[in-house]
Amino acid sequence: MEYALSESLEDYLLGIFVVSKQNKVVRLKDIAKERQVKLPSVVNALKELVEKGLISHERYSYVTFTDKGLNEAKRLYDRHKTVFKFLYEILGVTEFIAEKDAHRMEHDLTASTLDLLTKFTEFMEMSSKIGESRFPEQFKYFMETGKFPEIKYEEGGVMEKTKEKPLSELKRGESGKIVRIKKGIGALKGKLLTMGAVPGTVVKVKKVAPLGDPIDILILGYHLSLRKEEAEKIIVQEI
Amino acid sequence: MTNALITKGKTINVALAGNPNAGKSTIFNALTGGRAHVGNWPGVTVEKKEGRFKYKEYEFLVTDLPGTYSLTAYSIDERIARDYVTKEKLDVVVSVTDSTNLERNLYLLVSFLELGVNSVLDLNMADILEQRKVRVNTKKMEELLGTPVVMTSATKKAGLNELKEMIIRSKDRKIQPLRIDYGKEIEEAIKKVKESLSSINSPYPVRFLSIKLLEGDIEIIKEVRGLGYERSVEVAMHEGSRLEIGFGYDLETEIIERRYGFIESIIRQCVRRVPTIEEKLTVSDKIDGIVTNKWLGIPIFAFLLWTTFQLTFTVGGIFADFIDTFFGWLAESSAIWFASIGVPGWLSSLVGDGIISGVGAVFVFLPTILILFAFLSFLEDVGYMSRAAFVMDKAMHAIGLPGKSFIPMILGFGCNVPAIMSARTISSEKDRLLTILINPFISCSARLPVYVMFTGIFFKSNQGVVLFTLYMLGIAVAVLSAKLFKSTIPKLKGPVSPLVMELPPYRIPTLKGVSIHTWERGREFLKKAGTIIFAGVILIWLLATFPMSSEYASETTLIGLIGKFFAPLFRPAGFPFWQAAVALLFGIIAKEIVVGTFGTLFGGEGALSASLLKYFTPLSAYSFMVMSLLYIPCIAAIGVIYRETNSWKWTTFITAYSLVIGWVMATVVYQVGSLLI
Repeated sequence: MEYALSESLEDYLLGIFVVSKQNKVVRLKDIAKERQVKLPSVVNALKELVEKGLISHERYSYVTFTDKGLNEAKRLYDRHKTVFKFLYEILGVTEFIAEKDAHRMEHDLTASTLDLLTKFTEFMEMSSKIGESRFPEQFKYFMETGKFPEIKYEEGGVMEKTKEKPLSELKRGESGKIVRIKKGIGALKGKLLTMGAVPGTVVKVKKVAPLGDPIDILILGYHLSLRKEEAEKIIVQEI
Repeated sequence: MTNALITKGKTINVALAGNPNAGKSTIFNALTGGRAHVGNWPGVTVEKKEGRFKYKEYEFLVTDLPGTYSLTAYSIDERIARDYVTKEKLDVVVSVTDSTNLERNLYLLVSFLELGVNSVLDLNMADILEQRKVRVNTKKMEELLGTPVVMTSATKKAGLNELKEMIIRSKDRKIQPLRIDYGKEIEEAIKKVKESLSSINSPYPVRFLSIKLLEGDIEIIKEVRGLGYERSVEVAMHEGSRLEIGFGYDLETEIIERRYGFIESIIRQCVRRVPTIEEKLTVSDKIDGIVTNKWLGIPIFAFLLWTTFQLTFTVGGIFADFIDTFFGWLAESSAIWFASIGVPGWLSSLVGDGIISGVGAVFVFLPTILILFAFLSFLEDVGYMSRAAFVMDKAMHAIGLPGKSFIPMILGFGCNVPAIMSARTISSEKDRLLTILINPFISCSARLPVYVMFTGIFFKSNQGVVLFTLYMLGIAVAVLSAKLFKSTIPKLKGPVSPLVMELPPYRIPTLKGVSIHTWERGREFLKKAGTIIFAGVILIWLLATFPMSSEYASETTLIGLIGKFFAPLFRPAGFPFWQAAVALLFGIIAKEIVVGTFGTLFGGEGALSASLLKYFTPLSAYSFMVMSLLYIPCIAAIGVIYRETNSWKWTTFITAYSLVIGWVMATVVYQVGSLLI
């Protein structure tokens, strides 16, 4: 469906939607106030919107959306909100600037960029909700200090997937630096530590047994074989 | 001063400690000339080797400690090593290290030094170090570690006298426990725990105890609690969590990391040019590339095992037959000779059927055991055995056993006796016990004559199929019993012990090392298992002879009476006649004797097949074979089970269990079969 709305008309439609959400009825002066324009401009714009079948507006009465108009308004609203969120929540600009820049960006960006921006924002929102990633916090830290944060992990916490992984996930020939050994595995932990699997030690997966398990790692210059079950307890940083 | 006192003063008590594969046994053999007394550590089945030798005016008493990586009691081996060095009156502990892998090897020495043990550091395999043009500044190392350092090459017999000299020189050294700086926070924690431990009466230094408490060493916690210092344990736990919350680090990790840091600094200062990891292992890596290759790994393992198996049981079989014939001839000739000089029949029988057959029953296993262990020791010394475990681990894991259990399982098809002995290489006691317990169900070659006799008479057209089902049944019972034991017996419960196994570099084994090891196994078998086998044979002879008025093994002898008594029990299994029960009783000596017994009882080879056809149906013949397969391991197997588990409880348990399983399975086969036919 092509409405070919002008920037300005889009802004009006969005304005009407915002007003309709705040008030029970939408009056012309509310729209004028929201858009910060004079009444005659509003009247002209409304005329165009009526022609396009997006709203209905009888003289001296309230403005209401047609079904088509409501959908379009909602789409515009969501788009605006996404861009606003990206600016305000993720980049962390002030609310005022975010609102202003969102108005500019939403019209100028091509659809595919906007689409990706939407997805990215959604992803970041979700990930911070689930706690899977610490990008938002880390970015904040980076903004404040100019440094990439050193990551502290609590037990049972979630690791950053791109950097740290259990040794069992390294492929043949890959190396990793031991970060820590998981807790709650009883004496196995101490055994691994005393055999040299202390943080900072570099290990390399040399071989995988013919049946896929166990694996053979090179550590402190000797070969050690571990089942994946055991290797899973050793957290390494890929190098 | 009396003479006794002088000699006493000149005995030096030495213990050899070190990582597995550091060349400890080679040093032991080089020092003692391989003459060792092999026994068990008290209460456990871990082997204890002791040897003596004289050097200058001193008598050295050397104890070979189990190979360990640390002194924290993660396994029995480590506990033994720690208890021994702290609680025995030792003059010197020689820490044997593989000098080509100092970092990990020195960890154990550092533990000894922290414990305040009078140690001598032996940098073994110095020849390889030289080849790689690596220099070690031993003077500096002595200074930094505060302990004497010697370089040896046990395989080349180099540096041994220096080692002996160093032991003599340092035997009366007064030493201070090594102090590693664990950093401000941990040191404070150590101090607090130490204060709470003041005036504790323990063989361990207080600082050592404090550190171990902070590390959470379970054995030490128990020990300290036992001495009434519960509060110290609490202090340590409190300090531990305080540091963990406050500084975000894990205490156990941090402490061990510090030790490795200390070792690293020593190596940095004393070793010139540490070879890079890659260049160090190339030859071994190349071999591994083939031996543990994705496609070749399993075929190579299968081939090696098949070769071992074939040579053991064919070549061994030839010697075994020879020994068997020899003892048979000896028994016969003795009977003839006794008769000629008018010795009473019972005495002649005691010598012939009892003693000579008894000795024969023991010696008949010897060639097999020697050949097998020559192969296994060779493969072990080369470094292949851990690769075999590596290759097979996953398959065995599926039935709840580690990779190392595979070899005993396969060897069981030849003979359960050496198979059970070969379980010795399994490091976890739980896994080893389980491997031993299920082994008798693997159908050994001695059971084959029984199958051959019965299938030859009753299943002429499909002998092979019947044989196959019996072997499969044995495997199934072994696997299912493993599952059953694991889920019911507390000592065997839980997942397979974790696999943290070193794959040592390949080495060329020495003939001496292999032959010493092989002979040790053979001698142990003769001494320990042999006694039981001999006693068992004599017991059966007694039962078959008394009362003396009856003919040997006839209906009216004790064994015949016992057979008659038990015969009704076998009614549900389909063979309720006393001859079958007697044959089974004789089968305890060795399963193939079942055949001979039937021969005797049913009047010789010729009449045998006719009599068997009269007594058995194909179905009851099959159920009898099932019984023969599963019931009681033979007396030799019982003997080694006792020898290897060091426990009558387990030996009795598995004997009773297999008897029940055998009876139940035979009965099920017969009953279900009767319904179907």
